Amino acid sequence: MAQAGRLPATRAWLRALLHSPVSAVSLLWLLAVVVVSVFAPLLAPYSPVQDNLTALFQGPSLHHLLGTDELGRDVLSRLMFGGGTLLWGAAEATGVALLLGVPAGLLAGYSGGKPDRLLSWLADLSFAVPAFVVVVALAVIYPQNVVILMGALGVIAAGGVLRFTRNLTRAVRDELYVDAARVDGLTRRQILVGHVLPVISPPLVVQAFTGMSVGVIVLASLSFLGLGTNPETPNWGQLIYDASQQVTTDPWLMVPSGAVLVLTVMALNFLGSSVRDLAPGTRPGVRVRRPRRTGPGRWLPPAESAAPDESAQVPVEPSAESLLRVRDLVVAFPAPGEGRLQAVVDRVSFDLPAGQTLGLVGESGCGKTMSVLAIQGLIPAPGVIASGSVRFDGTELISASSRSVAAVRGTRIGYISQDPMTALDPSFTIGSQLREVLRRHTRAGRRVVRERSLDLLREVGIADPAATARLYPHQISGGMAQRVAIAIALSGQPDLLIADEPTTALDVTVQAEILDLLRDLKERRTMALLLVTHDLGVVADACDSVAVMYAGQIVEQGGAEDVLSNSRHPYTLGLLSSMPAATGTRARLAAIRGAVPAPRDWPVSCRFAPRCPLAADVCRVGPVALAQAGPGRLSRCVRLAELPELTAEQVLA
Amino acid sequence: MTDLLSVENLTVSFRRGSAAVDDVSLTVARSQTVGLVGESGSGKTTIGRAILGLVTPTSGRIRFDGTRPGNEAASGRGHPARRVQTAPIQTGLIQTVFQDPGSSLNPARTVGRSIAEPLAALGTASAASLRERTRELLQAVGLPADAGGRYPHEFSGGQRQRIAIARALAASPELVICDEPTSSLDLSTQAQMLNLLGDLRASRGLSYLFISHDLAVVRHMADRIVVLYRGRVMEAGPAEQVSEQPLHPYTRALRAAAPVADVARQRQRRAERQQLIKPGGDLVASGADACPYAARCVFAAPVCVSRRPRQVEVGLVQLECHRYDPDSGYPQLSCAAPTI
Repeated sequence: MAQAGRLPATRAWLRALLHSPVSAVSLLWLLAVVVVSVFAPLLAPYSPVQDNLTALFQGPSLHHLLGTDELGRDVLSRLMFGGGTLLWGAAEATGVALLLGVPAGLLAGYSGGKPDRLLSWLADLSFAVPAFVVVVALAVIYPQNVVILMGALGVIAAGGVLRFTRNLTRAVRDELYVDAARVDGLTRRQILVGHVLPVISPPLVVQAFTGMSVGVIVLASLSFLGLGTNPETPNWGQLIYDASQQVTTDPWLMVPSGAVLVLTVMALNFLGSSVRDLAPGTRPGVRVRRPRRTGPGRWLPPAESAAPDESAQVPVEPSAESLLRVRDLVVAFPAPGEGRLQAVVDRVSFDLPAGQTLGLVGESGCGKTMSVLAIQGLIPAPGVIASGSVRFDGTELISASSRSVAAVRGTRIGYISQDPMTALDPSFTIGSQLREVLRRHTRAGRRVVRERSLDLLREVGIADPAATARLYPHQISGGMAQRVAIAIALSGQPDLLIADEPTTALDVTVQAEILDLLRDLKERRTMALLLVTHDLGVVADACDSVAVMYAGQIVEQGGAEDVLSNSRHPYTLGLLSSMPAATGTRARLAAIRGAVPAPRDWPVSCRFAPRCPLAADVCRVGPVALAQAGPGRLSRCVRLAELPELTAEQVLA
Repeated sequence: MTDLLSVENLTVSFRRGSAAVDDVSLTVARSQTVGLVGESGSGKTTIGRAILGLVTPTSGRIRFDGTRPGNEAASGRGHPARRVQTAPIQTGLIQTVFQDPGSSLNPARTVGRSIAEPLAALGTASAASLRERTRELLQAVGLPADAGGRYPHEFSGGQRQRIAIARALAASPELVICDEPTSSLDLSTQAQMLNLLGDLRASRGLSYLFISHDLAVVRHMADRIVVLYRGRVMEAGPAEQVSEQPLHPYTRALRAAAPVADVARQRQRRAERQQLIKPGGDLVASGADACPYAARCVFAAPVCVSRRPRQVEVGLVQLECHRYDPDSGYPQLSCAAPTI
């Protein structure tokens, strides 16, 4: 099977390589150089060393396509003969370096301990050797002996290959698939050859191509200095030297030899990086153009928006005093390979009154994080807010200038993320980071800022603020780091705190403490909290109301207690019944089938229909609007009317 | 029931410093699932890795009684794990499913090759039978039989975890060590995965050592639960009892801290956890001759920081807690029912 799987893969790989013009041209150029060098005696129109004193310094002509040199020798023929030595020499040096360096590097990186120390010491030693000087000295002892010169270069370069291979191997050694292979009783050799080498070979290939190009340059340089090769079999370096002697009489001579050398070196380097990009498992960087200023006309919405979405007419709580009011928010990214934008957040609307907590819940890929990033104007490029409105305390944030959004963000809107360490700079103490943020918000003096920073740490439940302030981020636990991140978010006295999965990375007992802290802060400061989570238990613990998102849309919305105990949407019911706590030991869970589709695969009709056990023909007709499902409740389900009679177990039976 | 796996007094120390696993004993019977639950730093993963032979125990014994003979060896100092582990590993009788499906498959290999690896390592199967077996395994975990020619990056996290399970099953193991197999997955995918693991256990008579930080997930999968804290066993017993009526203060805190998706019930739980969890307790480290949980324990008495609790039995449950040890000198001891 391995064989069967490999052959088409190689073919596809070669096709992909030839698909890129730069690598195709590089490959063709190198092939041409190799073929011409091998068959030079057959292909060359003249002998490379045949003088013709009647035709000196001739420019390109039909007889001599690239002209003749100072002895009337045909430049083209000399070029055709002159590549072989260089490529052979470079290949020899590269081969020696790889043959010595790769096995030693694999051994050092995988085994660690004594072999690693010894081999690394040898590698360090090789760095101390001035390679070019050694090769020049050897050239004096063994004049014109390419095999010895390039072999010596390869031995010295092996140190670099060893170190490189060792570092790559160390990174792979601790991967779980290596552990799994060890569990299966594979030998060290089998693991190194079967697992480590294939993974580290793409960068090694790049290294090999770079080594080749260095070898070509070194050998050409030696010849230029008159040390490398036999004048009877001139190589490109020597041609360049000869041309440089005649540069005042005939500058043209410099062009052909210089050009082939430069092109060959470039081709080697280009090809090296293309080969790396095409290795399985690594995806070539997809270049997406950031669309210019996006007007409403540029966003090509999914077919659904042909039908007017009624959500705009059925607001959750039509309250004028909502602190945060989001309407028909659309966040879109350029679809790869197509000119249009693909919505990843589709007409999301909700209200969050002051002092309340709203949970935004759903699985990954449903648009929760993008929604809260959009509120803060933090959508990463090339994404855009395609349309919609975000009003915060009466101010429109989407059309506002980035400066006025920045003024609100960080002061009146605080943000904490899943990984608190991303909010902290590892090279500064907790205290200095907190003080720096405080100084941005106030014009108070040093002492006041210091006092306030300690107050904030105390407020987030840190027992010894003064001692903690002196610590660096790596010295504190994850739970403590999240407390510090909350303190930083609080420094601007925010009215709204956005918390994106604030407890997901934490232990469950620490999660409980952070949830208690957030509730406490919310009450003490009458702060609104927008909590993104995938955990319905966290919703039950912390939220007043909840919006369930699926595939970029809100599918159910209402009070947390109502939604959790009496859900009106099959997706929410499915999530609830997927929780293992609900059933006894060894029972099957009523799991939703399939997985959240990628945005480009979102159906035009009900997006949950392909996974929904209740889906009927009516669900696949067209887009489904959010509809009133009781007082203060919304649900996006065609079969809403039938739902109350069914329990979660029945729905997902 | 005979013990398939027995771990006796296992201690693993890394460098100089306190032990990551400190004198842990546990057994897994044939066709039984034992859940190992604890938070980060509890040593649960290290126990799994020691059984797999991926870390060397400082002391203790690991016995595996698979159907193929010749797999026991005493262990003391030196490198005992290698000797102990050689037999079951080479015959593929212990397998593993790791937490991170992103890293448990070699990105440079087709998934078919990864799945066939444990079987290929045995060296007994022909290429054709490997191919056939791979197709069969892919179907058994709910993937198309012809998916073997594709590379890991072409699959979602849930699908990769299915592939990792298929790989673990390839050599027909008797014991599968599942180390947080669902904790990087979404809720609906986690439920599918737990169902799949449950089905495979039933159809193939597997035993699991199921490692997780999530008491509810462990409760769902396991027959027995072992609760770990800082490398020590706090409480061990039948799954239902340990998860529903835990005795040890740490297990009680763990249970109370896990939120339930029901506002009214969660309100009660919150009240309970606020009684059971001492905030900021993660700061204080306890000494070698103290109960490891004493610094965070709301019931801690002077004896808890001066002497290490010994193991006591209360009904079917083993505990390490002075509160339940009549001879410990814990004040106001009432063995039967502590007030909260």
